Amino acid sequence: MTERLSIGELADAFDSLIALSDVDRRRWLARDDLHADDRARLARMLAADAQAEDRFLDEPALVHAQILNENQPTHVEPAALVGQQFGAFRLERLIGQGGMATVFLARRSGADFEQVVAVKLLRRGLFSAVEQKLFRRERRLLASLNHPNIARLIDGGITEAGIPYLVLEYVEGLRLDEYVGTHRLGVRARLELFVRAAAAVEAAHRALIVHRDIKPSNILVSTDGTPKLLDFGVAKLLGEDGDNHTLTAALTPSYAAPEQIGRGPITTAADIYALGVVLHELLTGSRPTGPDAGPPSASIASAQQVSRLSPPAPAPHLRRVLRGDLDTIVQRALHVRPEQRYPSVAALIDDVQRYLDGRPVLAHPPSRWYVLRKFLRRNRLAAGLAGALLLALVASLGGALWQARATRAEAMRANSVRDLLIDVFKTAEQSQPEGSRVRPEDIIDVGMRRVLDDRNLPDESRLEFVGALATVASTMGAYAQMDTLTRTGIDIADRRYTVGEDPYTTARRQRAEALIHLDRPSEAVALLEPMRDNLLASDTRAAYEALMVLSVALDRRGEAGDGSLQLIRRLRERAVASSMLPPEVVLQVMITESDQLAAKHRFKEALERGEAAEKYWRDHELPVSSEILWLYEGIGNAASSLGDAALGEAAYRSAITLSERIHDRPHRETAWFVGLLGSYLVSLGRVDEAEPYVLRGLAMRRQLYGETAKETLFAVGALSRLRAVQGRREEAIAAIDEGIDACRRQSIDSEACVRLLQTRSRLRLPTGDIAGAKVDIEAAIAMQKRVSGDESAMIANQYAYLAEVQRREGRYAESVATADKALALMQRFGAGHWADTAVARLQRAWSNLELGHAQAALDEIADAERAFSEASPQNVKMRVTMKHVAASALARLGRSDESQRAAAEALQLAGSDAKVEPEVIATLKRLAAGTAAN
Amino acid sequence: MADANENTEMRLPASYAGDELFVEVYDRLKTMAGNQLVNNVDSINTTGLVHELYLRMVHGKSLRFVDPAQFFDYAAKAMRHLLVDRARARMRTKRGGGLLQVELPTETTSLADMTAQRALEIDDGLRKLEGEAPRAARIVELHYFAGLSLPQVAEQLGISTRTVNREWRFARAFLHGEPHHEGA
Repeated sequence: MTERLSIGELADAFDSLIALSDVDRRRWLARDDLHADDRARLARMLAADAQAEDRFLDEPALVHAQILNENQPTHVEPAALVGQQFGAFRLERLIGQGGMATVFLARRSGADFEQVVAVKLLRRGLFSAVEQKLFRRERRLLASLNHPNIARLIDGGITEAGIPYLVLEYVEGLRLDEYVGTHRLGVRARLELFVRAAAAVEAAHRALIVHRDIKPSNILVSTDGTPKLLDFGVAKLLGEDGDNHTLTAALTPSYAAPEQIGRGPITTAADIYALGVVLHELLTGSRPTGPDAGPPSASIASAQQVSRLSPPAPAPHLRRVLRGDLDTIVQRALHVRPEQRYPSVAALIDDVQRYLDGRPVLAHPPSRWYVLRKFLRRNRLAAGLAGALLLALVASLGGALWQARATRAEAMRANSVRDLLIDVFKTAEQSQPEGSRVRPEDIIDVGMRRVLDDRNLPDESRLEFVGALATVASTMGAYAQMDTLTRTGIDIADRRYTVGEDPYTTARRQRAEALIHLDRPSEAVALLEPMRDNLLASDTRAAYEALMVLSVALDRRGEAGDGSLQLIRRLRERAVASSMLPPEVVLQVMITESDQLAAKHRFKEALERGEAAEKYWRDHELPVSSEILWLYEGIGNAASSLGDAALGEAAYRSAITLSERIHDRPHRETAWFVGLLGSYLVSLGRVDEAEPYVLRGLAMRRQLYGETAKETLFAVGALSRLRAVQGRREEAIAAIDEGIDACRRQSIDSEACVRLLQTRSRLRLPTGDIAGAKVDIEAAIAMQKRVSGDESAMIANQYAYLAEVQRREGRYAESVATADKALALMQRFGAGHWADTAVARLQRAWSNLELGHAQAALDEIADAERAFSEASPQNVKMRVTMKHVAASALARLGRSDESQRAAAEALQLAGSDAKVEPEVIATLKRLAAGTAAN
Repeated sequence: MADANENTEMRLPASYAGDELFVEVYDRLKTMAGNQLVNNVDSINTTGLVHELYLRMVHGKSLRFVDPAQFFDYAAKAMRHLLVDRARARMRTKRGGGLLQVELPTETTSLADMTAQRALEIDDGLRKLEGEAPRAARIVELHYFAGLSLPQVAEQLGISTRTVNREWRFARAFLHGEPHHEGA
């Protein structure tokens, strides 16, 4: 039998063979029933198996891919290409040759136009469809880059032979280095030119395109002095894979950031580094010897080396000019670690501009010399110390500072790992529409199991990860998981750390946050309160964060006094004065204070603190973050509560703009703010402007939050109010019934459902359905009590409205009592909503009038009306209604002349305003005519 | 057998070649592979690379993997595709043609030629395994291409490490025992 073996049989044979001795193997293989091919094959397999080294498959595929890549054939014969057609362009002559590409001048001739371009042929072929697809995708991205200082990508393609080519705008001009030399530009002119070139890089970064190969020869300056950047993103297009050697050899290594040569990810920081090299070169005439090469001013003496570029000034003078700010700027751009460089090109430009404007530069690192100088300046005494003593001081101070920095670097590394992790999850959460995305809880679960099961993980790292996962769980609203994670966190922290150490504090702070989310604020207070004094004595971020949470916990627990506010105020004062605290933490404290004031309806102070926070954010040029959005919301809420409509609107609009800037796709936060502005505009009566926001806000919230989320229900309410104001009452009712149904179905008790009930009640009232209106408002009040306790500012507003309903029912005494209750609560909760105060006073006056207390009614309404007209002159309906009560009261009191005058005035004010109720108008007309029956 | 190498795109199931996600994995892997220097082989850690890629992919907009296993499958396919691509480019230029000219043979170029040859053989052999011993083929993909350690492979496939070791040993011998191409 000489049938060939199947692979399965081959495997069995192989398994038996390897268990045998050499002799037995040979005997086995000699069997007659084995096909000769199989015999040979098995022998080869055994030989390969026995081979101890150099087995191809024992090296990972990655290594093999790299070996192949290193040896890509790259030799192109350019002369042969002149005259050939690439796309619509004919190559005319060779204008440049680089490591990865060859550049030709080319021309397109049409009937009535001629276009001169540069055609760049890549040296490396792209043969597979996947590689070609990537090339095309990248090319499309680059083609979208449109900036006056960037040479445009016009076209590109891949020839049949697999040669990729790019057609670029042809720029006539001198290379940056040649230009500054030829024109003998001084330091200032060079810096100005640099700023313009860098601005183009910044624009590209905003479009998420990194240049990767910035150098003077890629920056041309046209005859009118306009800089133009060439080859944006082309390095990426060429596929930087494996071109690393080429990259370092052919693309001048001096401009490549250390991470480009090593294996770090290439980001915008690489361009910042290259810009630093260019700046160094512009300022000194020579390139830096490497990253962290020292101050440019120190390199001037040794500038005899490679210097194709004339320095902007004679050496001694130049050294003086560079020392200090310019040295600092260049060094920061050239930092070996990307995260230590300028965070963006914009920041680099800003510092250069600051130098040009004579303003202080921001880049100054806390160098020991800088600190020492300041120290000496502060301590005149020290300046008089003997040399030896001074040296000793320098040594000890320097050492201490160095250590402090080293620790901070450690901390930073740990933080960046954690931040990345958090960022991964946050982005994952945002990037997909609800429903279709992987559930974040699943990811957290996986992470949790990994972290808890990995026995090799040291406790410190385990705690870091647990903390990061808890943060993620918190952002996702996965509070049950946050509960588990934070309990674990406390266990680890207790095992590994003691009171006063940051990880210990942080673990407790996170636990407290979880408890607050789980609606157990008392336990949160109990956890943090014992640490309060300890924390107050410490100036660390962790301590501040813990104390902020404590103040929130105190607030949620429903403190009788204002213990939480006192704590947060104290924290804010200390934070602002602290020199150790990072500005974003200071900002956080400021925002928290404003929030808490607003939550207590102390809107005036909330607004003050909010505006101070906003100023701090601007002054410190902190990045846009969600906190800023919520800050703007807080400012908007406070301002609108205080009746400052313009500020309120501006704040909401800022929130929308910033939210759209930080989220590149429809996002919950954007949806929230869009709807908020819509509702606000409705409440201001600006219906036409409101409509697009209301509709868009509702659509976005439905999509992002789901049908029954409170955010969506708020938007439903807004739509209903909008339709009501537009007079489209049926649509208004339909919208709101749907919303209330959703509340009922899900048995939701929430502010949103309260608002819906209240809105429906308001819709029912003018139709004469007073009973229905009363049912709704009473249901709303009952739910409000379940949501926020028996007494709150919100309930005050609802009482004010209930007073109106009761008056319509003819229950005047009840109405007066209810209005009393409303006003008492409003007073207690600070200034309260002025509009609602006016509503309550109007109802009280009106009901008093009906009860025959005309004088009391008149006193009240005159005062209320004056205040209201001042605060909100545009609300004609309310003003007319108030005047009508005053006129009626005057008539009752027998002051008919005054009554007639007041009524006429009111009628004139009402004019053609259709919103004033017809009964009110009718009464006013009677009063004006002096025919009111008394 | 050299002829079978002519059409690169045939080397992947159509379902992968047209898949944006696959293209994405491939792109990232290629980029990341390029950021490591080949003469520093000790520092190369494919597992680390693939895990890092996973993190980045999850971080980006492409969180569309059902589970890590699916990702590693993609990564392995991408790496296989990358290797075969390069091997093919290598073989093509050896034969001359197009605008690209052949460089002079040196020690590294012959290493590259050999690598290209072997890579294509492995790819051929692997397709045989896929037909009749699919599990062994997956082990090769995850271990050799995606860089997972054998215990990690066992975890991914939900089988014992012992089984993985045994099948890997067989598959490795099988692939090395493929008849060599002429002219290698």
